Amino acid sequence: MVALRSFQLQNRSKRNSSACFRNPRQLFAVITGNPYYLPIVVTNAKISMPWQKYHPPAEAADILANCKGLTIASTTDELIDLACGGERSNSFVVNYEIPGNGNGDRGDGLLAPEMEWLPITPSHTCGGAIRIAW
Amino acid sequence: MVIGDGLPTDKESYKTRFGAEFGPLREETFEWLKEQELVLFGFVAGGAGMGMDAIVIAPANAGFFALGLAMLQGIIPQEMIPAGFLPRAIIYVAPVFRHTHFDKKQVVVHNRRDGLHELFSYNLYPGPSAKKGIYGGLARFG
Repeated sequence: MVALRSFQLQNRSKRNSSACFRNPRQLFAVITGNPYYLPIVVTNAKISMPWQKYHPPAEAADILANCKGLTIASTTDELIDLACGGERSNSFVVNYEIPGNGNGDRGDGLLAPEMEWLPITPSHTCGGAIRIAW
Repeated sequence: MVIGDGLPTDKESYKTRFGAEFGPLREETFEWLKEQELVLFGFVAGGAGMGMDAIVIAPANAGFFALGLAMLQGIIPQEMIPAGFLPRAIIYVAPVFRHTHFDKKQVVVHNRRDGLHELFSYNLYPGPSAKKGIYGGLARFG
């Protein structure tokens, strides 16, 4: 609540010189009394990013602003494509780099013990299988 | 399911099960997510008109988690996000932590903050844990 109080005082001091809430997000933050929404209002007020309409809390905004890439999904079809690698995909590998552990790919076509298989039904786009590697 | 915050609960806390505060892992999760290609979508938990706004942030290649959740909870097209959309629940998906931190076991951490119900889903499949997580937020905010 300290951040909220600080924000309110900050705005009170500017009240005579300009409108308090030029941006609707600022109004949301104050109305909801939720300080977690304040930093994004302050730090990203002049940045126009598509994800800002979701009004994410500060930590999420930081992630979205600094991640390697962002897809904003609007339909389950888009999510199916993400899950399966697109319309022409027959299989889709999901793996993550783990420091000191690689991505689980042994290079011999066999699965490392940590890998899992997630079958995809034929009705799904790619009709194959997702290989999950660690 | 464990509770990451220190608020009163009758569920097992993160600290009880893992012997440490959740805060550092929460930060670690955020840092890991920043290094990924991500997918974001919004939905109304509990149904349109009577639920609460919520968003999901997941690695893009864990799209099947997002897909499963969207099929359970619905999805709001980006252009249909209302101006007053304000998430009260947020799900962070970080599957790899299951293997790096939880001995390959799936773990979901609920972290209640002021006006916000955070869910950290350290798994790949949006099973009952995701549903319970959303219900947890709904029960909390009514």
